[in-house]
Amino acid sequence: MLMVFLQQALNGIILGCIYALIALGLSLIFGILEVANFAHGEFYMLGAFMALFSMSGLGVSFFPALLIAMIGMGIIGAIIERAVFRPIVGKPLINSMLLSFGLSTALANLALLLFGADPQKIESGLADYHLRFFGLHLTAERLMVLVVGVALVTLLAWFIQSTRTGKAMRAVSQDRVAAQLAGINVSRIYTVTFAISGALAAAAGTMVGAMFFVSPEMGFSVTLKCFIIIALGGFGKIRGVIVAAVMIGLAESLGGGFISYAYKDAYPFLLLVLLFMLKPQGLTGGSGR
Amino acid sequence: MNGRMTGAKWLAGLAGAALLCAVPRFFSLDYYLHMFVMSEIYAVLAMSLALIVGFSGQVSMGHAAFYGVGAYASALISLKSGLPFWVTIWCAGAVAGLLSFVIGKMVLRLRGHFLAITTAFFGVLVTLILNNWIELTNGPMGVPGIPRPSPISLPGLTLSFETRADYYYLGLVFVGLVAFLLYRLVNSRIGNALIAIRENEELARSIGVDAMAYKVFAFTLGGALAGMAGSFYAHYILFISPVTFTIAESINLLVMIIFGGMTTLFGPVFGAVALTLLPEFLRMAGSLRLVIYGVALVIFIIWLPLGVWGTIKSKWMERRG
Amino acid sequence: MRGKGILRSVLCVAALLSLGCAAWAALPDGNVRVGVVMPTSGTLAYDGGLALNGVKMAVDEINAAGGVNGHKIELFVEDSAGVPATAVAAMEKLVGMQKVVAVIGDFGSSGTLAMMDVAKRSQTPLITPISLAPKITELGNVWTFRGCDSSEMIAKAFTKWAVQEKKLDKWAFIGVNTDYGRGSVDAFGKKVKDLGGEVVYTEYFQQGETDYYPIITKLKASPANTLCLLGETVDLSRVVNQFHEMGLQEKITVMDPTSGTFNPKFLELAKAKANGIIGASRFVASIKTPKAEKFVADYQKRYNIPPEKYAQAGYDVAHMVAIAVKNADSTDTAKVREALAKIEYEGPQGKAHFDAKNQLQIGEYIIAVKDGKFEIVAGPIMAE
Repeated sequence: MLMVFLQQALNGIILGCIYALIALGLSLIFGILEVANFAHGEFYMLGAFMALFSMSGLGVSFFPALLIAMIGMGIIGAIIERAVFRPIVGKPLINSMLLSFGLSTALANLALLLFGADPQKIESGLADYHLRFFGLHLTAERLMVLVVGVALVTLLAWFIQSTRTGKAMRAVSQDRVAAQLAGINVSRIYTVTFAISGALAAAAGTMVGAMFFVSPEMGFSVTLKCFIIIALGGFGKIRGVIVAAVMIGLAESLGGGFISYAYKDAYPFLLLVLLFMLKPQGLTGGSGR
Repeated sequence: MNGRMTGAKWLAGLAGAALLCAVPRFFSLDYYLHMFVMSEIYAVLAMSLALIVGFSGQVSMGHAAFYGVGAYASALISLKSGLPFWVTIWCAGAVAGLLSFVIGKMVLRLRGHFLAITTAFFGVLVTLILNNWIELTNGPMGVPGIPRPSPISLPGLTLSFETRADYYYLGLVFVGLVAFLLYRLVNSRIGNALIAIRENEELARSIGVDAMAYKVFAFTLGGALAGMAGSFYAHYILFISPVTFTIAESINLLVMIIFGGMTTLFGPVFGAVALTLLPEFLRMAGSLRLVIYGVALVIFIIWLPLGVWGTIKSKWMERRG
Repeated sequence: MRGKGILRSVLCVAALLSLGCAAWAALPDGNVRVGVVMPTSGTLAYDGGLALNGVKMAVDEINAAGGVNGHKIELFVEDSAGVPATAVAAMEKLVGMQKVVAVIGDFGSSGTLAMMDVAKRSQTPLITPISLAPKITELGNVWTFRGCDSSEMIAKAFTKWAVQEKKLDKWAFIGVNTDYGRGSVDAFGKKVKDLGGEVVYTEYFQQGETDYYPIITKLKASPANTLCLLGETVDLSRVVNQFHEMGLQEKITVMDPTSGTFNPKFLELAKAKANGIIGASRFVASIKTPKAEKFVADYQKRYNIPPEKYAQAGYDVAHMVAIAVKNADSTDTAKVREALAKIEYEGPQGKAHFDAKNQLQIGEYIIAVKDGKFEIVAGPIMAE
């Protein structure tokens, strides 16, 4: 029983790692532009397709494909910010919610039209190497997800803490007007934020495409889950989001394994409602904006 | 707001009603009538959601849950007890209303994003229960064989509900009554209080408005009306299953009210009709249909954030000074 | 007098001719219009597309061979998106505006169940090539036909073989949480218990689920020696992949009695992990009858993939509709319905006819995956 528990916990942490990558981007957008991007799952989907096509079309191997997908989605993210989100920054939340929902519908169905409904697998070549330790089971592929996930999150944390652009991003998220007065080019920060989120989502999509599959409808359910994570972790807070992502991964894995798998989708929400009831300030405190 | 109806307005209203009653004469094909009946159901749903989101300013992402609970309550009660639709539609309203009262009490303390996500949770939870509580709901197999409403005969008019036209007329009455109820409501003290809460809750509280009570009231009434719409749907399609009442449907309803304009009463009706008929027109576009729909939504929110009817109304108000 | 005689005989000939023409022209001028409602968008789009492939190929075949009594079949396809109210709208459109003689569809049972009322009201035959819900043939709606096997039929044929001949006694079920998955798990569980086997584990997953580690980890700790999968291609390929990732293949035999896995897409997604799966199917591409071999070759040529059971069902149902119209020699929907109910059909799958409840009666094959190929172990077994 203990082994089963530990195995489920390990599975949950790896899942949480993927969620963290996607939710961090969403959280940055939310914190800095104050818009809700329901099309974020589609960034993740498009990133996965980009990796898939660079492997099948350009013949590159898995890790270069991951890089290509991240760069590609970074660029597309920036374009989408300029074209679609810029006009509604500062408008009520429901506007960005529905706008991005429209974007999500358009992108998912465009992908369906161009790439077909047919799901496809990204071959990382690592799935068949099995690692066994203390009776626990792990494929090399999942280990890779863990390593890449942790590396990217660390890189992001460093970027935001230590670079000029990162500091500017924090300034904008705290007070847009003051940042503007201090000479920060706010619209450039917006674009950078979208580019980073796009790249992170693409990385997550590529790895999920290797673990599971790539298909046009993979985005939407992930988006909703990530909104729960950022609500749980606190809007715009990096550490809170990471903790929340791992918690959600664990909740799904342990709840699905030990309570009921059929109600798996309810556990993340349940966690959130519990939190709201017990600690309305959010996981890491601060404003409940 | 000018609450009094002038003679010209009465005449216009009568002409409009006559025109709506004549619709089945001009569009006798069942295909068109089906789209109109669905539009009527969505019109009620959109108005009930506009009461919560538009007038009270509380973003709910789980409205389809009440729609679904009403549909299931009505279908199951009528199948198990044999009660006619005319009774079960009220049961549906009561059950959905009770549920939305309880949920409202729990979640309406929250604001903005927190509220949106928590209501989404209840939407997802209801779908999961409909899918997994096999003994009660028959799970994903759905509930088939729901009876039609029993025939009614009024002087000079008999509705047997064997044809889509009969449902169309019933739906027309339903939409009319709900619109009338909400019109009276939003032009009353309650309506003013709700709008005050939407504009600035702290201010409303400071002048002695019991904000929580008003919000819960709006949420409960909206949920109950959605439940009644669900009952109408169940006894119209005659088969229900959880796939109809998902979060995608909740978002669809939000899109309808923002498309039409959610701070007016006619806006949601307009949005519901337009967005029920539009995807059908776009059937010609084949697989591009949903792409066009999505792009249209994006363009729309950038250019007409008040919604079609809301924009027309505000322009008109401007011109009149 | 002579003039009148000539006139009379001319009139007689004309009358005879026109009578003859009337008998010939029972099918009115113009094309025979057939409707299809399938999900071409949403999560079922891929599988719906396969069924549509079959339908389209059958129609082109019929038209190339001169059509139905000289009339071409014209196909009208509408998207149901897997949503019941949309399926109803699609069928209303086909019936009301396109005036089709019959409708083929939907994929999911919810859509089909919702359309049944339209079929009855408009008196148009509705044939589903895919939907499995038992209710479809049990509601007594004579206008609705199921053009494929039902869960009970497969359960009867398969469990007998697996429990009695293969001595597999401890069963685990992983099924998709839909009418199809739930209904099948019930049907198979009952038969397994009747035959003295044991059901030790049952879990359901949501359609489109990606992560199955929670239930596979749990399965690892259960005493099961047989894992019975009930779902669709893509979901099941994830289950099988993760089943292998957890290293369970030596301990547990994987069964797929409703053949969600016996198709090329599954082989592409699961690769060598597909080997060893045993199951039942009404159709696989390796059936060696002349009709099946021709169907497989033509389909392969046209779509570049071998056909599987959805394409076969779409293909067969489209042919059945054409034959029914031909036998009825009319586009009168009531006559088409009668002809369909009485049809004696033989297609790539084998011989088929409808029973009194409009349920298709066909045989089942026992299939095993070996070296990436589908081998027929036994069959066809008739459930009757």
